[in-house]
Amino acid sequence: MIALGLALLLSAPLQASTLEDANRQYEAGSFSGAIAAYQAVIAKEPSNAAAHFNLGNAYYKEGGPGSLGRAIASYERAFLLLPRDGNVRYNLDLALRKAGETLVPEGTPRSLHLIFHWLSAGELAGLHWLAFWALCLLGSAYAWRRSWRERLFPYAAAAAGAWLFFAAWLGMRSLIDVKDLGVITAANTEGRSGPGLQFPVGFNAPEGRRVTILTQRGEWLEVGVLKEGLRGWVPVKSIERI
Amino acid sequence: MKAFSLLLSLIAASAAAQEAAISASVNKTVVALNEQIVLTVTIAGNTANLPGPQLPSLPNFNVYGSGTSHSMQMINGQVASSQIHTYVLTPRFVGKAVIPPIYADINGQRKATSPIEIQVVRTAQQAGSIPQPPGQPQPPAQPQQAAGPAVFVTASVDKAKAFVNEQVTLTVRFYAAVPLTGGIQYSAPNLAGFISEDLPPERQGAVTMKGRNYRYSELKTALFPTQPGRLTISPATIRCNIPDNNPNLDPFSHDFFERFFNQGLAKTVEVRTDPVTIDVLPLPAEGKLAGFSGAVGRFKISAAVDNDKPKAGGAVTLSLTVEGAGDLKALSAPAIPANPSIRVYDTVSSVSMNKMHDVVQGSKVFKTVIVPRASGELKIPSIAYSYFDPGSRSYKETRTDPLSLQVAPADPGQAPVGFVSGQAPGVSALGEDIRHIMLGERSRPVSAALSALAALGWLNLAPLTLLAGAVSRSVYQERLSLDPAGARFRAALGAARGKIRQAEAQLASDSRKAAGLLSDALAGFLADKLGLPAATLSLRDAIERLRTRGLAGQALDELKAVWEGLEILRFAGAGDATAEAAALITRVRSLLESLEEAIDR
Repeated sequence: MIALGLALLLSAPLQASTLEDANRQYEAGSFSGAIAAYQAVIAKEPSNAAAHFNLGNAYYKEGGPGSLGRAIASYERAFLLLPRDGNVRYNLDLALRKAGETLVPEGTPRSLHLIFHWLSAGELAGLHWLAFWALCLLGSAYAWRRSWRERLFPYAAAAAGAWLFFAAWLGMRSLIDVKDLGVITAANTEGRSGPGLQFPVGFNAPEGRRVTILTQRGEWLEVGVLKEGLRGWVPVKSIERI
Repeated sequence: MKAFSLLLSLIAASAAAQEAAISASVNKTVVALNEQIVLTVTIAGNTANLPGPQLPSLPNFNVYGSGTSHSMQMINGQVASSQIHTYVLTPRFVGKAVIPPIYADINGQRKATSPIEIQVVRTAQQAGSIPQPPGQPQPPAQPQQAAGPAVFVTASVDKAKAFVNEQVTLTVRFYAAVPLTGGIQYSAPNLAGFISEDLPPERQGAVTMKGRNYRYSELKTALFPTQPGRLTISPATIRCNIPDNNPNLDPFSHDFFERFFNQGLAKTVEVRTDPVTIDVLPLPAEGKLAGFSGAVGRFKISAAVDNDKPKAGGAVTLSLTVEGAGDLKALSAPAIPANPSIRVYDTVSSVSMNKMHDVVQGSKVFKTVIVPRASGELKIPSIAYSYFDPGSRSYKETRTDPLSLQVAPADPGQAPVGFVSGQAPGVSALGEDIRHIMLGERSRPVSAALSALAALGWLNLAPLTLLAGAVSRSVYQERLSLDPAGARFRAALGAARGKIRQAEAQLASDSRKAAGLLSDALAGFLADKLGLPAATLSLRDAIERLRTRGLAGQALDELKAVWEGLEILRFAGAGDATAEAAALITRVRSLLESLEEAIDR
């Protein structure tokens, strides 16, 4: 609880001026300048979802080689911070569709995807631990004094239910959400069977496709292409990590 | 069925003149006594009703009429007509004969031909060897017997192999070495498997072949094969009347007089072309461009709009012009790229064709009405049109230049094109683009706090220890409540110590009270250990019970001494007994600890 209170007190005030400068550049059509400005904001505030989102927009509008992949990477970071925001979901889905993917997997109802990802990973974990704290404190009080038990029982039960609920949700998210996510930023990236040009090419992947990064060896990464389930080695510089 | 017969009659006569005129000509000026000459009188004028010629007296000839043909043209509202009267003359006497002027009253004017001198000789050999007088057209040198036919017709194509939809030019040429009498019937060939396009004008000319001089009339047609394979153009047929040089008049024939006076010196002939075969090749599959719709030829495309600054909801006509050489009528409309910013209506087309140099060419314009849905810059991208070039045997593509329109907002209250009055306008998606940037980061303190809590990681397990402690305590107390004797036994020393501390506190103020507390501590301890009520516990009972539990005598002696000491201090002592009480505190404490170890449950 102390930690929670400290966290509330220490919520940093926003430095809106730098973001506004970057937004001005964007709206003036100077997308390259806007990209640099948004990156500066993100360097100071890595959890600024608006900066990540706007950076994605700037990459998208700039066009050119690699811009779609970088736009998707930025949108993914914004999605991790604000998964329930309609604009973030829309832009990410639009960009992914240009790369041949969709935000919502095929066969999954959109509403279910939205609910499942309503909370960010940090929020979900925080709620899980908050429920855990409540369970422990209420349980301790319940156990300490017999005369309190009758009054405390509903609260302790609710805390236990909440903890189980958030723990299950967090567990499913841990299983389903991709870890070590990356995005291909080079067009027609060739996936090889080994970490080197001497190995044959197994597949070609377009710019913007999301991959999971399995391992690294020197300047090569072994990745798995999410949609097609292919696996291969690609140059490090062709992937942007999320 | 074409008016070929009327136009072909021009072979035997001069072209119709706009001004009134009469002319006469003969096919030869030297004739043998047993031969005939053909006199052709042509009357031309700018009126539809031309008078006939007034044939003069021709005492040196027997005259037979062989027919009349008429032709009329309307050019720029002006009538030009002509009549051709043909007469067959057979000489009666050897020597020089003159055909006098022939008159005709045309448009109130009396016109006359020039006289024609004819030399009549005894034999045909003499007719061929006698030189013509100067001023007279030299008759063409004719062999004793003509090698070629009097009339024939040919059909030919400019290429024997062609691709589907590639232009093939068919030429039908009708040759005549004799004047034609009467009408001409032309039956066009069967052009199944082709789309045809006439290639005017008809051409006329003269040529010498097969030993004879021919006048010809040529008709060209552009053919576009519609299917691959071997296609055959069936024969064209011409039926016409030509002079009969050996009439073989039989006076006893049933039509003797009819043939003698009327058409007796002409005969009907029918000539036809040979079939023409064309090998039509299919368009190659290799290299076929996306969007290819079957156009064959050489084309280029251009785009234009009638208004590059329209208002939203206002109509704009997009004109796509495909020009070049090929079957323009068969060209399909270019595909306009899908654009959700505009509403596209039906396309209408028009063809402007010319056939210069016998090639079907021109342009086809496709007009489409488009309506911009929203204001702003509207870009119409480059539109591609692919075609097959038979010359290079490859597919090619032509593109328009992109167009940019500046669409102004619609006037307030203006109903956009296409809306039905009385119905509420709907909202339709205009396009797909990313949503605009966020203007600022919203404050999310709760989210930040939760994330910070999660960031503590395994430290969040700390309250688990609190829970564990509380649960342990609860379990302990639960066990105690289930075994009160045992609870008393276990709690005996603790309770006694508590009382000892109370006695220590009372020691300075009231030693006797302190002694009483010590006594309660000792008695309470023994009662708890032995499971007896503290109030009724005596020393003797306590010792007896302790002895049965196997306690040693020394401990029991100490117990007795302390007990009795406390009794004395409580009830019998006088004056200050603080020192005694303090000593007893120590002894009681020590005793209790030894008894705690010695007494088992």
